[in-house]
Amino acid sequence: MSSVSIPKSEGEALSHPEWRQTMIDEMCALQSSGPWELVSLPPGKSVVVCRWLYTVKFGPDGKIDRFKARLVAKGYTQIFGLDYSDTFSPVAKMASVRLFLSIAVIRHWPLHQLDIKNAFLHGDLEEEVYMEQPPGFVSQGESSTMVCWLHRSIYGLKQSPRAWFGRFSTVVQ
Amino acid sequence: MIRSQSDHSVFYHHSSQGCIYLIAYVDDIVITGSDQQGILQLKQHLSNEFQTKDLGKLRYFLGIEVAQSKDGIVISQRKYAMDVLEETSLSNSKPVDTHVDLNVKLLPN
Repeated sequence: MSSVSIPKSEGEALSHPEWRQTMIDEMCALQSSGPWELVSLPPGKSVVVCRWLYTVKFGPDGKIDRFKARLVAKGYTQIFGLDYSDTFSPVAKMASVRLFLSIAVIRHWPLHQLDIKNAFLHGDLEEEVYMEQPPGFVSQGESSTMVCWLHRSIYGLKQSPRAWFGRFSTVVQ
Repeated sequence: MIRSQSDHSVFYHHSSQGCIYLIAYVDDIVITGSDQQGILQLKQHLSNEFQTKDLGKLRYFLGIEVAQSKDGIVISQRKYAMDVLEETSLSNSKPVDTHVDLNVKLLPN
């Protein structure tokens, strides 16, 4: 585990081929879900700060599985009433999980499992949120001072769990 | 599907083909029910709307290991307990049996 070090800055990560590639992959994942549009910051609006997070994923055998870079918003730079309001999101109760398992056993039903990739990138934002451009991927020229107007939630926003669950709930129903 | 009123993360669907139950914990989803065709369609629907990773039979959910066989299922929190021991550097500590009376209600004095 000590053989790999987590980059301390975008510059350091970008100069490292493996980390650089994971950042490009994450930017592709973000762009394919179309979460933002570059705009000039409207007056009276505030900008949410973001950063990169780097993690090394280990396999069950303890060996390095893959490198992962994730762009996250710094939720603590958000302002209540301006770029977020409600944040509550339900999660399964443990009692429901146990009941689920019990019924499945009694009725001899199979239990299936799946997970949603990049779940929080699918949430629809109700609020008007502006975020700075991702460090290391700022567009050149005139648009360099522009900000990202978020259409979809991203990791780190206070309302992301709620936005995701709202969307999931709609799709399932 | 209909959202359960008693747990908003539980969804269900009843039809002449059978029933489907879904439980969600953020991005982790477990599905069960008697309508196998419906379950396949639901999984397809989810993967069309979002990108999903089908993990097949339920094995590990919220720290609970699940082993399914035709005789039933076995659940344990072995891995969860081991991970806690690992994190607290107690993996090499000696285990001691601790008996606890059943149905004891602890009250503040």
